[in-house]
Amino acid sequence: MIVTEIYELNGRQFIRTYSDANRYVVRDGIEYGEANDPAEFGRTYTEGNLMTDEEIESNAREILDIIFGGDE
Amino acid sequence: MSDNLVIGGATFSGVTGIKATDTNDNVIIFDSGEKAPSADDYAQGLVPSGLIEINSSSVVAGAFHSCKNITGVVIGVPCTLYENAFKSCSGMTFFVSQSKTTWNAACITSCSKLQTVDIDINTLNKSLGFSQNANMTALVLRKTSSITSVTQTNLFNGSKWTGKPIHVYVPSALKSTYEAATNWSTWVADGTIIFEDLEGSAFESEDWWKS
Repeated sequence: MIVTEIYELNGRQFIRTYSDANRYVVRDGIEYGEANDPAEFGRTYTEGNLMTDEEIESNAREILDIIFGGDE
Repeated sequence: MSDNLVIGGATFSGVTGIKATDTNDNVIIFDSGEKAPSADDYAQGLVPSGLIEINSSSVVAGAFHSCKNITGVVIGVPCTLYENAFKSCSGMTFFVSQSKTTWNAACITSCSKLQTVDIDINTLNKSLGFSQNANMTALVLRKTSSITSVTQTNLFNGSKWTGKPIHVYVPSALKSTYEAATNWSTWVADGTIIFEDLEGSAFESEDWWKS
């Protein structure tokens, strides 16, 4: 399902939108892995296709790089 | 040139300013097999160096992995960049793609001297596109009909960007749209990027890299 979270960044409110089911979130035909928008725009999303294995793997690799340091 | 021609590893290596003229798809240039060139490869002068001009419809995964003597890349035709195509090109200071680009994960990554990327692309839709390019200072987005969308939040790095702010040069008519756009707006708010007018900048001309 679609999950939205409100957060503040340097005095501005933003809304993070993502799917908790490894799916893209979609607006105006564009698939986002995660969408972050200024709260005042009230942008809404629908749940889209499943993310590719490549994207899920890349995101997992990112986490490992953060923990262990990426190679140069 | 026949279909599906594979130009094997290091065929054009060591030639400054190589040009690979593509006559069809599936022409593979410098298939490194996603392995970094060996010390012997360098010793024998078999690794591409200097300015690389590419006229191919694709640059395969890892094609120029760790080719540390490349100083710049210019792609003159619509081209698909595959994962790690330009990974760890530690001497590369600029990357220019002058026609429509198709993008894959981490295609330009860990290039420690990379300063400027100049591309025409509809959507930056793959993870870690510019990951670990710690000295990147300028991104030029020339698309004029609408903004270049970014669909992943780790475009510049997996963790919070710790380098200097990246100046993103866009058509002035789209600047305010970019500043309010999905994901772009957060990087403005946290200081990762600063949008600049392309017009009147050092990058206004598509041939800026020639000077």
